[in-house]
Amino acid sequence: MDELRLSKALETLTEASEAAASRELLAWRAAGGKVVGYYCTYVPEEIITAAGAVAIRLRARTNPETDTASAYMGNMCCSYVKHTFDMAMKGKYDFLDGVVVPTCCDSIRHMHENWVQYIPSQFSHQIEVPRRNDQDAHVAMFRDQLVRFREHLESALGVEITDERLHDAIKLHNETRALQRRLYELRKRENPPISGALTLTLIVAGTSMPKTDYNPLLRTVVEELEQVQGVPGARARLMFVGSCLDDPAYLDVIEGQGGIVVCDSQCFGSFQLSADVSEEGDPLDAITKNRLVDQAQCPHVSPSNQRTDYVKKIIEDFKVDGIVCSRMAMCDNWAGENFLLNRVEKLPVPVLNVEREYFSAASGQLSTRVQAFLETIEGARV
Amino acid sequence: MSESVTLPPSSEYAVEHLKREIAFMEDVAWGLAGCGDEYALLQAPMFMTQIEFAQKTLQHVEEGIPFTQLWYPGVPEFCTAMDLHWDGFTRVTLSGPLAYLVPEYLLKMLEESDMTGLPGDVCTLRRFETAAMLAGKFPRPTSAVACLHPCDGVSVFQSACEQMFPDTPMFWADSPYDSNERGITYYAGELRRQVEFLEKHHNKKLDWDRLREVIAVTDTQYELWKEFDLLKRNTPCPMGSWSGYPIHHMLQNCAVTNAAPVTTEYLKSLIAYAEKQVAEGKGRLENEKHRCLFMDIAPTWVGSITKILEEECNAVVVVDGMGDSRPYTPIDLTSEQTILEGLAKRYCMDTPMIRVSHGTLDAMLDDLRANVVDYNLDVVIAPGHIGHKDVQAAQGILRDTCREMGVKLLEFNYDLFDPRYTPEEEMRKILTQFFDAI
Repeated sequence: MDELRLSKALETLTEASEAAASRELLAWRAAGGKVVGYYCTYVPEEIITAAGAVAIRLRARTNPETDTASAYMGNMCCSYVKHTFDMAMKGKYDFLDGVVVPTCCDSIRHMHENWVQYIPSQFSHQIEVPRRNDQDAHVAMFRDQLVRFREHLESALGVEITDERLHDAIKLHNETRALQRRLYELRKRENPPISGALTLTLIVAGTSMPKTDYNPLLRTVVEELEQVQGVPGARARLMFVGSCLDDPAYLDVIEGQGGIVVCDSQCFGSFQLSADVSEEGDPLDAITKNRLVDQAQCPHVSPSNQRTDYVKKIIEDFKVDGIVCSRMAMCDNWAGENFLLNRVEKLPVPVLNVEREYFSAASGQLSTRVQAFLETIEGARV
Repeated sequence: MSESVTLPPSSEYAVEHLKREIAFMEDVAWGLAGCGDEYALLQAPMFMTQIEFAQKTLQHVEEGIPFTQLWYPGVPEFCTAMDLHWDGFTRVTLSGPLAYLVPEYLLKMLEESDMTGLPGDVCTLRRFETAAMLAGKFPRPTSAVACLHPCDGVSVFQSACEQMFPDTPMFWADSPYDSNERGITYYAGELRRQVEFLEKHHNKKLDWDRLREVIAVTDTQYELWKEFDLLKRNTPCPMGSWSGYPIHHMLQNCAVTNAAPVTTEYLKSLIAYAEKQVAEGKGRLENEKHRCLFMDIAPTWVGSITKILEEECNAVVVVDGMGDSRPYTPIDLTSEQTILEGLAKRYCMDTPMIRVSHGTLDAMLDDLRANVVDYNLDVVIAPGHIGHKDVQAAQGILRDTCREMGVKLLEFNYDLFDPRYTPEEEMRKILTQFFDAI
């Protein structure tokens, strides 16, 4: 990593990853562009792009508070939901023209109703995500949801979302996914030229700026990294699995112990880049299939074997030595998944189970546990 | 290399457990029969049917007769019509009434659930289920039919089920978010596949005319439930707290007596008791001061909370989160499709907890508004069960709705299955301070 020259592109992307709204996004907004915020990889960015707006994934790294949200949501709700809703209530998302919320977890789905009730000035839409994907009826239902979303977005933004525009948007987002996969490919090397923390930084940057700005910047960084030789000596190759993580500092703590995070199974990571949207045929069919069937699924969607198969494949592809399962407190979906990986599945590598909040303060505890975990992995090699 | 569990090789432990459970329930029924309390005796049929049900499950396991396992809100009407025995995941998990009646047993369950490695903020029922599965408490069923609702926690249970019983065919229905025509049609499709699944794995054909007969009986039972609820609108309330809760169990939850005459008789006996009370101008409480809506399930420690409410606060829980007959609509028996749509509505949009937890807040708020008016309630108790993250995310809206209606709202956190979370003394403080203040 030391050999990497901090290019201007990398600097821009790092800056974008830190803010709720990047400099590029604010410039877009100032020029009259529309911005739609969303939660979760099941929300199809492509439709928002086809509406001529920029889709940004809602994050709250600049808002360490939940005092306002706590007046509306109980303390059993997850901290990610509370921090983001807190930002919304404080007007820190005023640059948004609207928000799209899926039904992907119990906290988020009713958070949407708070949004409707208490921030009525913004357009909001809820997308129902089925909990299964193994029947045609489930796929048809999700497609129907996307048709409704497309119509709602058209009326809210006063635009027509044609199939042609959808095809263009699909191409643009496929380009993003292809670049991000190149990034992940680098991590398969024996000595990866990029850390897990920096990968996360680059992925997160893509969720907070127009893809037309992001893609050329990411291409520059990827091409630069492809020329870099990684530093040998990582104590173990780790995989991160768990509730959404958008904080590279968390991975820094893990990697600070000498391991390297080479892959992940999480929604600010490999889920969104795991499969392209087909550029052939009906674009809504293609987006539906991509999100509900082809892409790696989060624990909201069953059956569970497709998820565990995905984890097993990644273990093999990235030559993983150990898994860090990190669940955000109050997240039932990932509690089940981590239980599965820890207690039920027969995985070929050891698993470390840890908990965190959206703003994690317990880095000392994490360091100690990762340190012990790495020693276990190393001990097993002897 | 991950620390995987060993699957229970047989149903030996499950059989042993069932036998102990039956013996205990027989003791309870015996004690109940001799207690001489008219109100307590009303609940005797529930115990008796649970005993019969557990005995039937035992017979099926011991003799190797195929049966299915249902997770609430499965559709027992299908099984009844197919003459297919089922047991309920929840019934097995809680060992019938054991978890509610024996504190030591509940404590043992809690200790076992703590050992699963599942985080403490996951619904304790889901942790109980998982612990029960790991312990081999579930007899290995021929098939299992379940629904991925009412909460995210179900995915914990579902994952465990799929992995622990890898050779057992399972059908997990996806329920829709919307409670409209689209949602009903969607879930009706899931139920049609459920029927096909049961037919395939049990080599039985559903007789739709028999199903019509079964549903006709249950429709009558739902009508009786409504009649009973109308009587509870009287002041003072003729019944004690949670009086609707056992009805839910009889009709739906484990539905151990689905379409059975005993349920009809049980409902009639409740109505007769309530009518007598009303005619005599009597309430269950001598000095009823507050009429409450408890927006959740009765906790396993319902006995102590009821005592505090009724004896120390003069408050009666007239309506609770499970015991409300409000939404049920009779099922149109015209065609297979109307039947499936009617059952879809019954088990996805009408059934308690599922009704308020599967979609938007509309159902919860509409029920709240209607219950407060119809039952003349002055207090809404909204306990934030650890597993009900959806309700937790709606606390502000709930508060504003109660404020608009001029009804007092008490919100607190608890675990409806774990009395350690909010110990009795703490609960007493919360409740008595609240009622003193109003």
